[in-house]
Amino acid sequence: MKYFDFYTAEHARRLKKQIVTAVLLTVLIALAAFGVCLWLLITAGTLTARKHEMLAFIVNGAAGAAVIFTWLNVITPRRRTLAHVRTVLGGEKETVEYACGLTLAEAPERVPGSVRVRRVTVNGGPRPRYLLVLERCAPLLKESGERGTLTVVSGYICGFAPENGGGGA
Amino acid sequence: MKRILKTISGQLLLFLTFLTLSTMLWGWLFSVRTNTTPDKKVTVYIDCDAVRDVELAARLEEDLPEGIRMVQVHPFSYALFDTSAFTGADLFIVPGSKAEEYRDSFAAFAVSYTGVLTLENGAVGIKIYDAAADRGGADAYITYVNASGEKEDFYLFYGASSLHFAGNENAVDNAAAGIANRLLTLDQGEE
Repeated sequence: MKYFDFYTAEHARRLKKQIVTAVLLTVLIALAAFGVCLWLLITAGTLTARKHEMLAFIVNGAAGAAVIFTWLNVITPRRRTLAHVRTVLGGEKETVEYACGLTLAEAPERVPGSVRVRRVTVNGGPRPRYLLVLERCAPLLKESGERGTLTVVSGYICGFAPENGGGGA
Repeated sequence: MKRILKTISGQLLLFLTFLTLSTMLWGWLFSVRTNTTPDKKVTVYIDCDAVRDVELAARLEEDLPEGIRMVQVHPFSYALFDTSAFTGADLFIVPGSKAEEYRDSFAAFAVSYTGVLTLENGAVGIKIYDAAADRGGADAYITYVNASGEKEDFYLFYGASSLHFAGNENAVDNAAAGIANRLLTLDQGEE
């Protein structure tokens, strides 16, 4: 059985470390910017008020951009991925056999509030079965071949074993 | 590509919303920090755009009358969208040719000396800039030219609604007189 190395406790730990570092960094940036703006406000006098106000706008804007874009592009995707990895790691494994290959959907989809996935149709049974595979793991299914066994947790494919070495999904 | 553009535009919208709201908040905090109630400040409006308002205010604040925390100096254009601050101002500096236009904003009082400009309603302007002699008070901070860019005599008036002119009924003190005196006596070229 070939498991995707995406679903490992080590990967989950790495993701958590990245999230904690990024959160600490954004909190630090936000607090530093707030402190600078507050200092500019307190020390503003008649002569310096306009300059301080402009500086506060610049500091506030730059820090806001750093925090918002880090939160949306670094922290949120990793948090979703971590939640998904934990779900799969803690879920019950199921084995699904396929006899006539797997059909991968062309376009990826987003599970609301979670990770991006591709739909997979398992052919060869009495009726087709529909599963999901993480978008970044989808290319690995090319080696799944015509016949084999899939390891599935909560509807997500997290490993496969081709019957005779694989050769195209 | 379409997905990336959609993501970027969504995040940009969020960032712009944050920027607008935080700018408004910090702007309000700065305006609160750099302002005070009318009874603790003297406001001077000058009908001339070439005014180093901040520097002049800071210069006048070096020697504040008792009970006054700050002096604010604004060109007339500052009151374009908010006339309430203008009508409550304590001192006005206007060219002689435009004095009658604003006379209702100026305090009327009796004077026994000459060399002043008395308007129809009794408002009295003290000459602060003499165009013939090219000499005036605080002229290091104010370029005394009228709207046409020509030199002209400028006069200093007390505000009709000023809280700091003893001649007004609602006055709490006579601090405007102290500031007026400082404006008149800030020597030519003195900074």
